[in-house]
Amino acid sequence: MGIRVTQPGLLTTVQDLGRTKGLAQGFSPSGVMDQWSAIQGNLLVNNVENEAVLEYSILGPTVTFSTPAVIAVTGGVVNAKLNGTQIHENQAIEVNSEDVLEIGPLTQGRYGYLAVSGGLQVDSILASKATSLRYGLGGFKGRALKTGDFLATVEPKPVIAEPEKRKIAVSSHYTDQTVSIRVTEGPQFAQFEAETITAFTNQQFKISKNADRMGLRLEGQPLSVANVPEMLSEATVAGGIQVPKNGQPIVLMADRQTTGGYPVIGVVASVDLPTIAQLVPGQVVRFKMISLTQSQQALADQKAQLKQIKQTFDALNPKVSRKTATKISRLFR
Amino acid sequence: MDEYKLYPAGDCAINVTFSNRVDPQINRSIQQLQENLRSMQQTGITGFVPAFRTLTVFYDPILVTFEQLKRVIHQASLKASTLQTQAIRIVHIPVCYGKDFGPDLKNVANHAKLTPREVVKRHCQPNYLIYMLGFLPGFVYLGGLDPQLATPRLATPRLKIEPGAVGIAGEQTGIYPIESPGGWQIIGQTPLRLFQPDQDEPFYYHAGDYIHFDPVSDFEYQQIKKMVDEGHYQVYIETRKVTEDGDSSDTAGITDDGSGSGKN
Repeated sequence: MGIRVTQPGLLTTVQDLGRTKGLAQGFSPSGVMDQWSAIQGNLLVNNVENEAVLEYSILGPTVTFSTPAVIAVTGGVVNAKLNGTQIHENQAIEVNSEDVLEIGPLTQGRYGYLAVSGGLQVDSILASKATSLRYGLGGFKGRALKTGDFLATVEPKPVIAEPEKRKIAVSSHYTDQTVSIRVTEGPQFAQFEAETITAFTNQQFKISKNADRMGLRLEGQPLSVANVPEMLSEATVAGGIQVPKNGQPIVLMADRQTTGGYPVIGVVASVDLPTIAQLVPGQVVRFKMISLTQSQQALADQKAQLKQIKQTFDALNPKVSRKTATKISRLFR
Repeated sequence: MDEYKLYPAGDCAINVTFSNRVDPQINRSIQQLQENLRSMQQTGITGFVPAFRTLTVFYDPILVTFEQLKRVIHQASLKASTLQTQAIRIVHIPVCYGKDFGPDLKNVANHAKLTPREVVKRHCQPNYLIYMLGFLPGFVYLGGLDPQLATPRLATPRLKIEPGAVGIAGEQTGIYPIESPGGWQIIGQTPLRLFQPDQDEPFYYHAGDYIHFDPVSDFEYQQIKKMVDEGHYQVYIETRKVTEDGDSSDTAGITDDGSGSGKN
């Protein structure tokens, strides 16, 4: 039992929080672009944070459920309809057999998520269900979904009490014309000239059309790398801001290669990665340097916020904890 | 251990950065540091990515602070080497060179002003050190190519290179573990299936291991391929002890006469 794809949308893939175990062997982490929204989706339907969800971009899919489930639509703003009736985002919703969910185009943001109670049943490779499109690996047959695909879900439907009470406030940053993004110093920060650093933090950069799951190319006054020495390739990190020879920075995202040889001027704070991931071409960012301590404190605050959401939801579901639900669902795999 | 500097790489990773050169000795320091850190089982360390001159340590800042991690890395760098008493691994990759398997062997031979036979002989000579993996899953950055075999990339990259293709690009040599577009001069093909997604260890090798190419005939290629397909081909992985005074030698302590060798 599961989900039948009747219209695939654009770039709809199975993703979790990434194939982080394979980095040293050259596996791109892949995984969702906006971890905050994906985790919210999973918490709404009582899944573990790392459970696989469907990620779509620009246009969401239309799917038919062949079994009852609890779902949540999170991330970029859409006009999702269940059997023709509009449903709320960031809200747990019960669906029945033969229900049709039409997600439609994103009106704000770049990536949206569909989480399903119990998760999506695809094989794990190196402990991850993430799809790496570049080499056709993981997720559902290593590719984006097509019409007619059938994704297995957990049977029977996990028990979730009072789904209507499971909701989270929707993000509001999607429409901001200029978005402030916090960054810490990159590993090659000290090799850039003072004027280049000033140029990096004092100007606005536009998200270019060449922005995808691999990286976001930015447009602005070129940053000088003339005096930055050539470097040997080293590991890349999520949100690393590379400056290639042409001086137009690239922010490395989920489908990045694991190693790179361009100097990294800054790294996007982990808490701001979901924000920058959701920007559409033409939107503008301004980078704000913060200390490592500030960046890690912000991350700790975000984790505390998630914990609070979890506790609120767990209080709604006292009889079946998330752990127990996962254990039960494993029995049926 | 060689001197290093620490640079944060965002709020969840730290680069342990050694001298800025491609050097087997530095690679050993990186492998040794990784091994020592692993054995310390520090809570909060989530992974390692070794590269030419860096070991990137990924961590969860909720579980271990940057300052704690700095101290742990310092301790690990002081710990007596565990690797020096260990053996190194040489993974033998059978390769059928030339003809349809290596359409660019003639290019390389012409560029090197050698016969194709001599190119193959020289390509099969070294134990190539795996400095790091990157670009694609299982793609090795190898050191030790005979400089005379260095050949520029193809002017027009191929849209599709088969998994198992062995090639040369500039001063690098390597294998394509999975299908990919690419501009490498393809000189041969291995019958091995390098990527085994259903295994816990999807590749036969890691950074710090060595690769040796063993030339095989067309007939042997087909035989090995059949065994691989049937699932009973045993990849030959040789282990050798690292020599005491080998630290400065080109292959980080192993020599081609097999001193101290313990084949398995």
